[in-house]
Amino acid sequence: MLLQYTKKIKTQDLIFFLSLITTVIPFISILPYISIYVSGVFFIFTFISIIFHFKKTLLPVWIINVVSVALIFQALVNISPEDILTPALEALTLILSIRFIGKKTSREYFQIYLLSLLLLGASTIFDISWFFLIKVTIFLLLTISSILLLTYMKETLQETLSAQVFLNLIKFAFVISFLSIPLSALFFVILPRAPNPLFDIGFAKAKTGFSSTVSLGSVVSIEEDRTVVMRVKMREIPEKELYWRVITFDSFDGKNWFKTVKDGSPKMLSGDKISYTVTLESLTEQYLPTLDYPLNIYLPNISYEYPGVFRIKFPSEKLIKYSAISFINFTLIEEDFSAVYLNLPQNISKRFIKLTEEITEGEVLPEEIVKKILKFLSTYQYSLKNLPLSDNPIEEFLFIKKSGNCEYFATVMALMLRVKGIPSRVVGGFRGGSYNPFGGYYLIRASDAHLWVEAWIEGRWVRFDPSGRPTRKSESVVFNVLDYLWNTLVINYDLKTQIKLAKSLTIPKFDFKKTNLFYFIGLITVVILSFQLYRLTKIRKDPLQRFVKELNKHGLKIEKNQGLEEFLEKIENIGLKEKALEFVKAYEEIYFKDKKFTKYDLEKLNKIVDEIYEDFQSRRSKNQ
Amino acid sequence: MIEKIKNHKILQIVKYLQSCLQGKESAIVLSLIALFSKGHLLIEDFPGLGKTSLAIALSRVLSLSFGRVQCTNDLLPTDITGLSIYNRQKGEFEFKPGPIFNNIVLVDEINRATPKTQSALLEAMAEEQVTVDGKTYKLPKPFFVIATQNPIEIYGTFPLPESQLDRFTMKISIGYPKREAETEIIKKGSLREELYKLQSFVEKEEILKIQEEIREKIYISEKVIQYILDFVEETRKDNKILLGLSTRAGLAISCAAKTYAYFRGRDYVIPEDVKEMIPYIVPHRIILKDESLSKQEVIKSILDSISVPPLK
Repeated sequence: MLLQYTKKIKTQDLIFFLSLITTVIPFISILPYISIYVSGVFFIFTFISIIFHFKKTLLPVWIINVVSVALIFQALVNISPEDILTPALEALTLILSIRFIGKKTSREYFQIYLLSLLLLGASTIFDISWFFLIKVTIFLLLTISSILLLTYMKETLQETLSAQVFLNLIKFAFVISFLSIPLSALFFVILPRAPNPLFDIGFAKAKTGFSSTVSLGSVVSIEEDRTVVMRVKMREIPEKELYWRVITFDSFDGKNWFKTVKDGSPKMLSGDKISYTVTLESLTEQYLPTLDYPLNIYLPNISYEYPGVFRIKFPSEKLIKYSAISFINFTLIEEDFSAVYLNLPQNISKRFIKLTEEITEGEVLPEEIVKKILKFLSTYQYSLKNLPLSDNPIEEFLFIKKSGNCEYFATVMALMLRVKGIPSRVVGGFRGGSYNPFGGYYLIRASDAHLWVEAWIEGRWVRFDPSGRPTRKSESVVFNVLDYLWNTLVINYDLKTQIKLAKSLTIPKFDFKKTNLFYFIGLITVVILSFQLYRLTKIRKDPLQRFVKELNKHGLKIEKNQGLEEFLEKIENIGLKEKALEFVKAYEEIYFKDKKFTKYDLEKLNKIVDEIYEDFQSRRSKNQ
Repeated sequence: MIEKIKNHKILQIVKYLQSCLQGKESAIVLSLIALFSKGHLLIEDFPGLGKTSLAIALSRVLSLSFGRVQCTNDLLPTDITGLSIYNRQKGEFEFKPGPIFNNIVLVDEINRATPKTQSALLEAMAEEQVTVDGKTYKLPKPFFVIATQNPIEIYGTFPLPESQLDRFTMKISIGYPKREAETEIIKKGSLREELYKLQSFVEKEEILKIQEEIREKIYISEKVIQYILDFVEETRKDNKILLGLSTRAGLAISCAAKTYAYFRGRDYVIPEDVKEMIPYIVPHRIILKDESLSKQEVIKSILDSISVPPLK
């Protein structure tokens, strides 16, 4: 008895919890992007709904509706031109959670699934990592299972179900989900894609992996941002050459770095030539990262800016993929330099200059000066926390904190070089990257962002990296590969790829002419149609098959070892039993007397089956 | 079983018999089926459950003559068939018919008779005639034997071999009556006297007419015959069964099914008729390899394994 009890599950409870998990999936996806208050309210609502569910208390529907309308209104009020998305999503989240508190018929559950689906879809605006695929799969399974359960409950009118039935439903849900894969894949390939994203709205909250301005003294600490900036498909090169150039700075005002120089004298570049392909996943403000030092990028609509900086002319929300050629271990010879590279900020302190002179005392050769500065800076601590927060960040860094991030090291070195009359500039970009031998690419994350110094020494621009920054540890390879495949195959799949795929499809060659092909297709159509027609008439001709089918809908399954009348004894519904008996009598009278079924007989029998069918339909609509 | 009977005449007979034989409705229906199928009935039951009452009531209601043979191991064949006795006045041998020359013959405790006597009886049943001293005497029509045997007492008995049992269309057991019925019986006391006073309900001719009607008018389709043969064949193939069904058994099934169809107010046989008759017709005709199994179970499992028309 106890065993039986434990094996039975209350269908209502099961559906409730499945639906709850279903909503939690999209919620988790958008959790980081909505306000903490909304998440809090979501949790409270969910908690209340669980309590209500077990206490069997229900909130009147009108309250829920009023609250929902109010939430939509509130969202409308909060929408700003910069961000119309977040208020809408927050409202959607709240409406979703409040749905759980009220009465829950299948209609409410379907609303819940639809809202969850919307929310899950919306989450892709913020995050399109391959985790989405897993989320969608789980979501699909749960939703299909719940819908199957709902249907099962409605059809059987049973309040409990055995573990066996539940398992079967789950199996069925798996099959349905599995069957939907080829169809989805087909849609993925053939559905037309807009060249630009549909939601081309300003994302106030969207992340940028890179900033083209460098401001010192404004933040206390920097969070390690694991966002993937780009993947670079190329051969593995020595770690010390992994500098990804994005932008250069030449002017410093005491706190911020700017770029003012646009042109320079002609260059002569030599070194080891490397060609590579970059898949840029996070935007770097129209700047295109390249391996230091770049020769050229192959991408239309880009502009080159001195020195070694490329940018796209039009902003794009899409991922950008380009191939480029660079030189490592390069020698960059420029005969002249801009005077800007010697400018010092107006408010530069005497203390700073004094310190510079102290460090480089007795040195005349630029190489030696550089060495002294590097040696001096190596006594400073590299840190992302407890950064100098002050109006004079350089002083704070040099004399008080004695620790900072690359921005401080690079700035100090560049300024010291200028004090000593050596032209210098600061280069912003990324340092390092983890190489994936399976995918054959480097993965560069936002946390790899870096700043270093270039100095003009005897007609050459030479790279110096003063910050003793530890290089990042290598990462798990498998997830990176998944990530890469997801991005290249799914996210990056666009109109062009579609066209390419369509073009690559060759039409199979038939030996006969076009007219023959036409006849061939016509023939197949006729065969299929006549087969279908034959099947239809056969069913019509055999009213017994229809009869059995109809009763099957009532959950009455006839066994092969059962006679028709024996089978009818099982029917509980008196009305149905009478109709069925009428049919069976009429059928048997002909069948067991070895008579031929005349047209009239078939009509009569089919009429009875029709009546059973109509009866079933009307009863079902009444139930609903 | 009684609720399925739709034929008015039969229903009246059954109801009338039921009024004087409390709690034996299925036995009544089955014995009527055996009778109208021109078969014979074997009742295996304990003494004192109303076998004789059933036979007497049947004979009275159907206005048939009734004879009774109480078997013992010294019973001679002539005690059943009758014998020729010298008539001094006429100066010739005169045939004195035995109890078998009745329409309904109750052969009590048939397994107590010697095989010799049993054979004589069974031959008479099969041939519907008796040969004494070279002379053949036709038995009256209809001719219906109700034999009984006690399942418990074995000492001094000669159990009928299966080949002999085959001659009985059905083997039934009456079983103990329900408590209410038993109360009624005890309250009223033995009704044996009253049974003899029962009004006849149908004439002998009418019974013969119905028998003929069932034989001629009830249609049994080839499909149902195939169904019966499917079953018969399965009993022969089944590895739990040592001896399967004979052709006679198949014939008995179809005859009983026809009668049952008639009782149910139809002029054609459906598989359900066959299916419902099989448990009474088949068990005493088969021998199981393993005696500990239940014959009914084996038969049911065979029935469950064969598909029923029209859904093949």
